[in-house]
Amino acid sequence: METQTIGMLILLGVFLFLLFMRMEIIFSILIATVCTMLYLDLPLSIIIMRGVAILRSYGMLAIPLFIIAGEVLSDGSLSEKIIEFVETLVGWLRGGLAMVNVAASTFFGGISGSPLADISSLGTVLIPIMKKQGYDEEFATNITITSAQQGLMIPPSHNMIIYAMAAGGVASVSKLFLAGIVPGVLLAIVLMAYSYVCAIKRGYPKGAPFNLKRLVKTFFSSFWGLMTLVIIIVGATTGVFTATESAAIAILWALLVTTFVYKDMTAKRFWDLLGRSITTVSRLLLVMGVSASFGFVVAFLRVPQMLSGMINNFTDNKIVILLIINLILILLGMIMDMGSIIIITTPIFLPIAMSIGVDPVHFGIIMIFNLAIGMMTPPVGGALMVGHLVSGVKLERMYATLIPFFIIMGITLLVLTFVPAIVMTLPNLVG
Amino acid sequence: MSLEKGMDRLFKATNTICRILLLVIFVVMWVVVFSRYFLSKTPVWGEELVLLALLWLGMLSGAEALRKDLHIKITVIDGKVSERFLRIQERVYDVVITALCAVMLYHAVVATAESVGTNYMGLKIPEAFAYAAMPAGYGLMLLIKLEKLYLVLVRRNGREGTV
Amino acid sequence: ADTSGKAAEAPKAAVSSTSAEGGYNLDEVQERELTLGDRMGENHIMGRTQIKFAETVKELSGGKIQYVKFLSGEVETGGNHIKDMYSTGVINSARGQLELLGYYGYDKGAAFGLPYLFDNRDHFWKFADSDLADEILEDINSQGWGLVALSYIEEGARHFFTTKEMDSYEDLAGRKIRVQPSEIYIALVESFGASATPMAWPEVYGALSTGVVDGAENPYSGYSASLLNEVAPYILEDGHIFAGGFLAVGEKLWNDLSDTEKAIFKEAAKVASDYNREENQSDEEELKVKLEEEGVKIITLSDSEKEAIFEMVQPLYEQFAGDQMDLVEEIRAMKLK
Ligand code: NA
Ligand code: NA
Repeated sequence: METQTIGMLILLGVFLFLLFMRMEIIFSILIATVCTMLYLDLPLSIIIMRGVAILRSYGMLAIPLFIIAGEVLSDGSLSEKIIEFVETLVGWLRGGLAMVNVAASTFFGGISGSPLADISSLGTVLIPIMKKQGYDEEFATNITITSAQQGLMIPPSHNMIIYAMAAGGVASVSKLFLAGIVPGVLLAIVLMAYSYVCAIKRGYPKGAPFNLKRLVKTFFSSFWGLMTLVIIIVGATTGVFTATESAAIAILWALLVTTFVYKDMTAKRFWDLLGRSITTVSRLLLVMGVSASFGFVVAFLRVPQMLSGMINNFTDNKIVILLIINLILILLGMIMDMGSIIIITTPIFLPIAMSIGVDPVHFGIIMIFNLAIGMMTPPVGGALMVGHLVSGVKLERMYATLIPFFIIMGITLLVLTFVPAIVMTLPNLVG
Repeated sequence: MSLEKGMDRLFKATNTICRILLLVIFVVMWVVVFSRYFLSKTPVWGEELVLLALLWLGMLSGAEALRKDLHIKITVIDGKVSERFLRIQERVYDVVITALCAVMLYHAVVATAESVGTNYMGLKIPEAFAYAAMPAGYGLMLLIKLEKLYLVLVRRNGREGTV
Repeated sequence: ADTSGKAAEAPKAAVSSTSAEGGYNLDEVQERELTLGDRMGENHIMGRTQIKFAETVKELSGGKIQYVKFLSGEVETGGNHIKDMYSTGVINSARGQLELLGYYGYDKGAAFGLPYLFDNRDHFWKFADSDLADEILEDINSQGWGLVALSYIEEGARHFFTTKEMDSYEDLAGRKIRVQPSEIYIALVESFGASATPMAWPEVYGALSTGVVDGAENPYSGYSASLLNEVAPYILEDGHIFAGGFLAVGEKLWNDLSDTEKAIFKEAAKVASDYNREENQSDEEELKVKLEEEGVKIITLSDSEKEAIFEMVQPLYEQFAGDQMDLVEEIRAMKLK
């Protein structure tokens, strides 16, 4: 066998074996990486260097920031008041809270552009409320991580900027942004419809009947809390701060409101809140730090290039090629960081896609949607891990209950892939 | 002072440092946003300091999480194998991870030593201040595993599952 | 081609095979599979320059020395940190940037970070062809960084660009310009009366489009690769830093090479350097035509404006040149009349 094939077998074999034999994820990744590096005669110092490089990269910063933002927002009366308002607004509708969860990601995930940030901030607030109202915790967690994927599609999306750059100028960022809107909203509509169906089938409770007086009352009592969302959206779109900085500003605003308006934030409480944030942060950052070396080995073994070579030998049928590219991207999305996949695979797959007549803007949307699915695919998609951490649902429980969500994502992906008009109408209309 | 008490203190300090690093991250970001927007002046060290704190936070909190046994694992086999199997497996893993952390610590120290001569652009401190997070993190993880092996093998009263 | 030195003296075996291109004795060339790395892709001038180097080595070695290319930052271990790349030994060939050498504690590096040190491309290449430039390469190679720099390359001059209309360099005043978090860039931007805004490069496109910053600076190649023409279509072509660099191979590899192999690498580095010089110039010319067709406005500077700006930044020379003023003077004196 070739060195490349054996290397890949060692990497995946050791990783999956240890993972399912209850080794911690970080050590499963690290040991698989070390074994493969020893086989390939690569120096282990790379693990240190990749670790430093990734743990101080700007893209990582969103994780702790949005985790604290989630903790600050869910702590104390700020979230209680928002919950009362949201319950009054949609509680009378079956599956209303699940729909709020989806809609919130359209706006909030839209701004942050990071599903992990969206899950850690909104999930921290919304999953407990949903549980309290009688939703299964698995459903609450799964709808949270699936709807968070809208953040990748709804502009602004830094991953689309990375794609545009990797595509070498054949797809403009503004067209990609426009192209992402309809798929993002489509996903939201499908998820809301699914929530409604689930709510009826499983008898998720609905709250008190609609009451306008109570709605007005809860709106005013939750006004300062709701302003957090307004500040983030207005601030990030008018250029006061960047999407990453918006989390820091949300923290500041929520702290000011809870301290001075609701008067229930104390130094002690804040210190405890930081401690809880650390607990979540600690289990994510180190995984990212060691995953970087895992991704390095995948790139060093030229796995994406090998896979694209297979496509060329396999078929020239347009539909089959697109299906295979979709599959490869989902697989890579499970084992590598999203930004690296976009940078490495765009120059490989885009020429293939263009040669069978796929518009580069359309292909960008297909790629990002695939990577979104990869993020929530077992065993260790990033969205799965964050969902597990903020909800406490066991990973293996999530694997089992995510299946309908994969079917939804899969069908949406197929529709987006084979009905280009859904993606391309808006960008073609505007320019 | 007993070994456990010493380690408890060490990791209490680690936890406090992590909370402070978290504070540093968002307070510095406030400073950056406000000084850019209101004073039209952005501190040159802002981004570098935030990312330096992030790196240290990742390594130190990751080590602390190991002591509290917080790291994510998949426990799907738990109901299907015997208690004895799990106990032996845990010992084997402890030894493997101890060796792994020792190897990583060695490489981390070398990489840190090599980065002494390179400076940050804005902060004007050697890159070694960043790299040092690596030996610190792997060193703490090694200590945790050694503590556990010591308690189990020498004193035979390991706090199963909590250490 | 630089095939002088020991390679030429090496006795040739009677039945030796020689390469068609270089006339090297291929018996003294080992079969090698090497790696090169760059954070730019195969379409960027830096990626292409490195590919040219690798392909020339392959050609001159009669196909015996081959490269696996890791572009687009696939396996780059430490961003710009050339030292990191060599200390792992995984990458055998890469490039360094002259203006960053100061951060490695290299005194002469400070000179290359100074704004307007080089007037233009011709000035830089006149320097690169000089004896002084050869001395600097040797000096770099004696720093113990684990690399052997072989030839000079460049990414072109860095210019400012903004989101709002500009007519002259004076219009930069009062705007927020993204720079690297380097004191000298900050001082430069402030001498234009603008406000320097250090920010991570991945944030720049978004920050320009929402108005967090009004402008940034980069060579044409980086401006275009990052699609910044979509959001910041006003370019002030001032060339404040001429982004020169060098091609290098790892010292571990170098010490393992035979004299013939060393000669092959040196010749390939020279070929890649010439390629880089010609390609980047024609690239920039073509790119500028394309950008202007797309509505990008390029503001060029008259000689008197250039002089005024040079006078304006003189305090920076006093502040940052350190004890390298002699080197600075020597390089400045090479400027074409
Ligand atoms: Na977004
Ligand atoms: Na959501």
